[in-house]
Amino acid sequence: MAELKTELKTLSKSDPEFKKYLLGDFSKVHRAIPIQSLNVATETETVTFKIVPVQEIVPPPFFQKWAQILKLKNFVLLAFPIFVLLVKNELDQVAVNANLALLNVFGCVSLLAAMNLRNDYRDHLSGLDRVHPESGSRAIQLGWLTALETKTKSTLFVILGAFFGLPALIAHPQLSFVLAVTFILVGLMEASYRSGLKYRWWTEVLVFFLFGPIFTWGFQMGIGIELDFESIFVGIISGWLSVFVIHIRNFEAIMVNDQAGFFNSVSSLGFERSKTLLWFWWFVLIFGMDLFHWYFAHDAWLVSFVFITLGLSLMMLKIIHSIKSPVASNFRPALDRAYRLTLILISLWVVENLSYLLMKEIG
Amino acid sequence: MSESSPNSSKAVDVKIYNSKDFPSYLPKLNQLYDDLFSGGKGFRAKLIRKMSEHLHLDARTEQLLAQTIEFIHNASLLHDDLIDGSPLRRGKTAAWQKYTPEYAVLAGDYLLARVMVNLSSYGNIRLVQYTSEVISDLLEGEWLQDSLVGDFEVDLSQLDRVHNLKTASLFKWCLRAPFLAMERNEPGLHTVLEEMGTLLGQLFQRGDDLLDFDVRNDEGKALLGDLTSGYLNSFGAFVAPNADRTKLKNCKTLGEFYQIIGGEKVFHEKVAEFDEKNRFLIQLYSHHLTSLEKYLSPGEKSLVKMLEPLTDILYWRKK
Repeated sequence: MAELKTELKTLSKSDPEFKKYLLGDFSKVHRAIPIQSLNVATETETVTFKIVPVQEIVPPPFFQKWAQILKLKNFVLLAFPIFVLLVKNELDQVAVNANLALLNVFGCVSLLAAMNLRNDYRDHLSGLDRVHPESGSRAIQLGWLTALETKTKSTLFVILGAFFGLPALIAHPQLSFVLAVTFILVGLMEASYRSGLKYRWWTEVLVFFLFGPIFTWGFQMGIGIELDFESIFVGIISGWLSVFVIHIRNFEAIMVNDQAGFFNSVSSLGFERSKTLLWFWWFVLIFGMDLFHWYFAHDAWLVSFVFITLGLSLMMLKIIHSIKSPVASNFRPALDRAYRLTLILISLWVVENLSYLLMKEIG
Repeated sequence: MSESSPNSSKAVDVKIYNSKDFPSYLPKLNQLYDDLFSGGKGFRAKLIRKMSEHLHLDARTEQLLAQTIEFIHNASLLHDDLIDGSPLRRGKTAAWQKYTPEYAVLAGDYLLARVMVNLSSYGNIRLVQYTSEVISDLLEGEWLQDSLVGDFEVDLSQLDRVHNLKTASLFKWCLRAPFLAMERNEPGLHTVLEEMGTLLGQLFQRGDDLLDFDVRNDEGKALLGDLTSGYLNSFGAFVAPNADRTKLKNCKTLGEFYQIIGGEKVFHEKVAEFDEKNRFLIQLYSHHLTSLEKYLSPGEKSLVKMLEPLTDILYWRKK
C-alpha cells in the first residue's frame, strides 16, 4: 500500500488554534481545507482539516475563478429588474442621469458580491459547508481563498458599494430612507445568522423585499425617478422569483438541512408538500408576470407571454412531478432544469424589452 | 445455544439469541428466529464483545449490547429481504418466503420492540435515546434505498448519504454504545466515534459492494446480486457513470459488465482508482483513531490497537 502524504488535523472549538485553522491564517504556505462530514448536528464542534501546500492548489483561470467565487449567475436576479427599469424609464422618456444610473448598477453589483462572499464566510464558520459541500461558491473548500480573505473581500465590496452609491445619496437625500430600511433588513438577516436562525422562513421574506420592491424602489429613487406602481410591480416579481430560486436550492438540500436542523419553508413542509410549494410559487410567479403584461405590455407580447409561460409551466409541472427522492439520480438535474426555466423566463422578458427599445429606435 | 453466565467477564457467545427471549406461544416465531440467527457471522456482536473486553464492561452489559445490535441488524435483514424480494438469506430460504411476508414484517418489528424492552429495563436513558435514533436512521436509510431501485444513474455522493444512514449507523452504535453504557458521555469522544463509525460503515459497504464484482471475493458471494436486483451499488456508480443504462439493467454476467464499461483492463484500472479513493478514508480513520486515544484511560488504550485493523477486515477483506 502506497504511503499517503496527506496531513490531517482535527481541532475542536475549544482548541486555541481552532479559529486560526478555520479562518486560514495559521500559515502563509499552507491551506487548511475542511473535510466533509456526513454527520450533522453532532454534539461538539470539531473539524478535520486536510493541510495542503498552497502551491499544490491550482485554481482555474482568473475570470472563471472569480465568476465562481462571486456567484456571477446570481447577478441575473438583480440584472434583469435593473434592465427592465432602465428600459421603462427610457420608454417613459423620463430624464435619467446616466452616470448616476451606471454608478447605481456598480453599487448594486458590489453589494451583491459582498453578500455572496459574506454568506460563504458565514457558512464556513457555521459548518454548513462541511455537511453540504455543494453550498456556496466552494472557494474556501477548494483552497482558492481562506475564510479570512473571503471576509476581507466582502468588506472591500461593501466599501466599494458605498463608494458607488454615495453620489446617488448626495443627489437624492430621500434615498436615505430606503437605505435605512435596507440596513435594518440586512441587520435582521445578520442577527438571524448569529443566532442560528439563518434558515428560518422569514429569511425568505427578507430576501423577497431586498431583491424585490425595496430594491426597485431604491434603484429608481437613486436615479431621481418617482416611485410608481410599475416599478413596484417589477420589484414584486423580481423578489418572488428570487425566493423561488431559494426554494429550489433549499429543496436540493432538503435532506441535509433536515438532518442538521436548519429549518426553512421547504424543510418544514417536507418532501412531498415542498413539491407543491415549488409548483405554487411558480404558478404565482407566472400569474404575476402575465398580469404585469396585461397592465403594461404591448398586446402582442401579452399574448406571446401567456402562451409561452403556459408551455414553460407544463414543463415545470413535469419536472417537479418527476422528482421522487432526495437521493435519486434525477433529483439535481431536475432542479437544474427548473432553474433554467426561470432563466428562460427572464430571458424572455429581456428580449421583450429589447424589442421595445428597437421599436422606439425604428420609430 | 449457550447463554452467558452473569458472573463471567468474557461470557458472550456470538449466538446472542435465546428462545427464552421470546414468547413460546407465538406460532413459528422461535422457529423463524432459529433460522435467522443461525448462519450469521455476528460481526457486530463480536465487535461489541471486543470493545467490552478492552473497556472492561461487565458481562451483563456486554450481553445486552451484543444482543441489541444483532437484534437491530437482523430485524433490518428481515425487512430488507421482503422489500427487495430476495429469495435467500445466508444460503437459506428467506423468512418472508418460508413463512409469510406478514410474519417477516412482524418478526422484524418484534425484534426492535424487544430491543426497547431490554434497554429500558437496563435503565440507561442516553443509551435508549441513542439506540432509538439509530433505528430511525436505519429505517430512513432503508426508505431512501428503496427509492433508488431501478435508478442506474445515482452517483456515489448520493449513495454515501444512504449508506451513512443504513450501514454506518450500526457501526457507529457499536463504537458509541459501550461508552454510553459506561455513562461516558463526553461530546468530543462521541464525535470522534461518530466519524470513525461513518468511515467504517462506508468502507464496509464499499468493500461489500466490490464483492459483487468478484473483487477480493474469497467468501464466494454471489456475483452481480445488486445489479440484477435493480440496484447500482457504490462501485457500480463509481465505475459506470457514463455507461449505457439499458445495457446495465440487462447485464447478467461479469463478462457483460466488462464489455459495458470498456473492457476488463478498464475494470481493473477502475478498481485501483476506487481503492485509492478509499485509502484516503482509511487514512482518515487512522487519524481519528489517534484522536480517540486522548479520551481513553491508560487501562483502555489497548482499544486503539483492537480497532486499528478493522479497516483491513472490512474493506480489504483480510481475515
